Amino acid sequence: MKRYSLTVLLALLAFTALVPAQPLRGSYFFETSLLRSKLNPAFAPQTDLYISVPVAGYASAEMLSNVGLGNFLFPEGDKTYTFLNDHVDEATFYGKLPEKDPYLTARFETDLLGAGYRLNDKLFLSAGLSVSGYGHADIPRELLRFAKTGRSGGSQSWMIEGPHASFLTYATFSAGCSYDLDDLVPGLRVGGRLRLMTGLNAANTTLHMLDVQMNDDRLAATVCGILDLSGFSYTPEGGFRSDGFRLHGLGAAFDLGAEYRLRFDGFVNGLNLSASIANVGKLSFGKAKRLKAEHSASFEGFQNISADFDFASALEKVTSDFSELITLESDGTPDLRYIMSPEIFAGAEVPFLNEMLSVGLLYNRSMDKNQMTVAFNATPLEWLNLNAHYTFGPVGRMGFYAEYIPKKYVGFFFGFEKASWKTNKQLLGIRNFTESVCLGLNVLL
Amino acid sequence: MSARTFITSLAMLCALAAASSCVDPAYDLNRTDPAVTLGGDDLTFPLGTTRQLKVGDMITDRFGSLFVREDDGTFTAHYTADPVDFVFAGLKDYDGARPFRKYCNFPISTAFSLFRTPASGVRFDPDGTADLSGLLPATINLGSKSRGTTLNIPRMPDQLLGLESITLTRESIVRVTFAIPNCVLTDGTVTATVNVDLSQFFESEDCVDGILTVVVPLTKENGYSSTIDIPLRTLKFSSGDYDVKTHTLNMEARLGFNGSVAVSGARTSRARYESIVSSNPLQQLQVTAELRDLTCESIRGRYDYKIAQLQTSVDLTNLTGQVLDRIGDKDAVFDFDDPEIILNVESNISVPTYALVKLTALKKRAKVAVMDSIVVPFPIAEPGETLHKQIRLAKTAKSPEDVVLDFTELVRIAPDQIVVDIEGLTYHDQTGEVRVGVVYEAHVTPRVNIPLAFGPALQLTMRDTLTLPDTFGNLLQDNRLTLLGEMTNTLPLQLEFNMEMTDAAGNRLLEPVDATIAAGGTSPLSVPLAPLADAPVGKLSKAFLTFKVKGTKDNRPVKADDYIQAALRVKVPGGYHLSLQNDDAQ
Repeated sequence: MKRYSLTVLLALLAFTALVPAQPLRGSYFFETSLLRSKLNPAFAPQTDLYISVPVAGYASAEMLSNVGLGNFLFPEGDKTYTFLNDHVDEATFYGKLPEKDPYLTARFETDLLGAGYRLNDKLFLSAGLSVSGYGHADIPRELLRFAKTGRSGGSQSWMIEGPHASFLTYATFSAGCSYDLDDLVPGLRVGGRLRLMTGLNAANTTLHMLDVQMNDDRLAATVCGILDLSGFSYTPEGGFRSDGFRLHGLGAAFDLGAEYRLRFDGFVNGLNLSASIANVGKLSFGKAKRLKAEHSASFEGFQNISADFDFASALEKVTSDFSELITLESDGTPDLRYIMSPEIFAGAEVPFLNEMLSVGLLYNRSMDKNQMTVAFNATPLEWLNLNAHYTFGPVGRMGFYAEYIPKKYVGFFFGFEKASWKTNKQLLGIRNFTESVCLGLNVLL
Repeated sequence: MSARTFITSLAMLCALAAASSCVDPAYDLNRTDPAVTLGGDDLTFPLGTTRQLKVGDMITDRFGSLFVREDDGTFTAHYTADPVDFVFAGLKDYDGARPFRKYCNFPISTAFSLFRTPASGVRFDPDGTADLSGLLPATINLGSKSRGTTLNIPRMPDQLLGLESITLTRESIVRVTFAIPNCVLTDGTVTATVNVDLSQFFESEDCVDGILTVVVPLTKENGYSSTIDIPLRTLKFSSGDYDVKTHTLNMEARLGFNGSVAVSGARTSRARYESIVSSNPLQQLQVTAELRDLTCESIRGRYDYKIAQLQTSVDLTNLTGQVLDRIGDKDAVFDFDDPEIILNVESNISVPTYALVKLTALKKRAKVAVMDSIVVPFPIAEPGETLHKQIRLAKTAKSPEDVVLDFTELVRIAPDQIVVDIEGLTYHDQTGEVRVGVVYEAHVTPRVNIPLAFGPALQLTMRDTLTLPDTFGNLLQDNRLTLLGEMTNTLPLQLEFNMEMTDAAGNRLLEPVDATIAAGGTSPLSVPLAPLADAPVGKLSKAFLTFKVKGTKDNRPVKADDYIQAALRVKVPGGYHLSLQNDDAQ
């Protein structure tokens, strides 16, 4: 089997391996769903007690992007060409590029420990310990244009600003409760959750400027960028090294939610309204280090070339000069602080046919992006929840959710969303890399 | 089937269908062409600038001291022949006094009447003397007289074709004696003021037109007789005085006299008066001229000298052999432009003389070219002096004294040796002065200077081989490369460049590259490196470079600061092609 070092593409696709997670979205409208309280702490499962199987109790991964393989690969006849291939003209490639800079965001979350307990008819308590990760990268269009166009058309200089990538992992201890206020307002239930977070490691890099000059007589580049690290150490000789499993910061966040249920008689059995705001807080990393790269290099050609000119050494010197561009130097200790990206959920559900079926509308704002999900939910059996939904937003995607939730013993759920139903043989999305998956295995008592 | 079962089944089927997705094999990474192109169609990199290949450095490195750097930055190969000596020995033993000897001490006399001694009226004082002042004229006009003799001087030098003048030694004089024989005066002064006219045979800067005025006081103290010596310097002849056949000079030495005499304080004694008045009353001024110690110092005239042919040679083997060996081109055609022959002359010859030069080019001891009858005027020394002078023989004259001689063809043959035959001759129609007793000789050292300047016939081929790094072949496998740039060539030579690139076995892999680099300027360079069809360019190993050097018409000399320099860029038409496929996956 051929192995390709499609450097650029793999850099993009590398995030697929992380397979991040958010998408319990399919469980949102199921009353019996075990962990939908992660979306709205007012939700409480019907189970009296559950204990998550360590690590497998809840795992989710999510990847969001505005590009897919189809933006970079171009089939023609029995061959497929990358966007950097001569067979792909500039207009074709640029026509495939999104209007905004391509980006890729990946998140994952897994519960190491988790449990929920119904204290009484009104109060349900839950607690858990999870590990989450977040990664994000922006790829400026100008960088892609530079790679594709180069000096065609007489271009001689390129100013590329803003390539940015960040990565962080953190552990969260959360404790929440859901309380039935039916006595106060019939059908009303509220909930809240407090999260205490500790940073594990983080990296945040921004290339403020990459100035490239390329003409017949001179090659020059100026780089100005920073890299903030926490949980990693760097030495010019040894490169990057993880500091191991250490706690590198503290943070806190909270979730708040409410649910209001109205019941009707007839074909339509009621109306369920709910809303929550989650993930409100911040996380600060301590012992952060800032590395910077501020260098220029130029090459005006070798000078004084003669018969005994040592091209190898001269070339090595030029390579070294340009390698210096990304030489990192210590530049103090930054305040590495992340404001958590709050998420807002607002849902409306109309159950019918004895609540065996329902349709729901779920608004979600996450990472500054608004999304609207239309869901069709079915509970054909008491222990089975099935959902199909479509999410409108920057990237439209369809999702499914299934949950086996008996009264006792073991419950299992699985859900996913995909923006691109067409994939290649390696299962990479063609239209878009936006995908998410979640699953969980829990013991029900 | 119940509604619950139907819904469950339908939902599960949809989920299964959705999860399975739709695989599009067109996007299979395994069928993706790993070729990518970076940089765009106009991708060009600076390659660099070569060192200024300065002619001065190159010549010093390659040819050591063969070519000498001149002050003006040009280079010249100098070749010096053994000196030759010309000697004019004909007048060395000539006796300058002998021809005149018989005319020396030969008196030429004439007499002028002064006055008659008064026969009466002389009154003597008691002391027996009488004052004659009132009886004699105070001033007497002598009138004019001339006397002369014919000089017949045989055995003039045999080489003398025509005589213009003879310069005598400073001892040569005319002694003129003024005397009043049996002078009646016993006291008083007779002052003779006489113009002695020597202009008929004498030239001198001391007297105007050869006429010398002398004032001679005759008194009782000098016995009324006085002698003066008039130095003679240059004898003057008419054109027919010299008989070239007999080498005899016939000339007339004629002297003229005129003037006056003043008498003052004249007294006489009784005894003297009575003696004179009775026997010889006419008092006369006797003038006698006598040539004395005439000796020839130099002779100005036309001469006929001829010195036997002398021979020397210039060895050029290091120019042809050494240069060719070091350039490595046995078929080279040299066209050294404007070579020159310098005759370093040290001479005291004061006769207009020229050398008749013959140049014979030898190659492997065989005569290959001859240039003869080359007339080279020699510089004329001032009599008695020795001059040092260079006579330049070249195609173009730099000074009026240069002799125009184009012997470029002779050098173009690249001879091993140039034999120089020199014959010394005098100009028969020009006069010169020769000093008696002097050895006239010229010491001539021929030198050939070959400036590093080339004519259009120059043709040299220089070859070099470069070993190419493996990466170069690998680069050409996937990419078309064009070398762009400018070649600056300040040399007055046109360069034709050819490059062939081969594998280790010498099989040509690329189309040969040809380029012409114009002389004296900057030439654009665009050299596409085009692989031959199906050629395994990855095996590229060597580049054979050939430079054909051609002269140009302006023939400007090559200067030390002349240089060749290339400013090169590499253009990758269509962009830089790169395969993302790992080598170990192939």
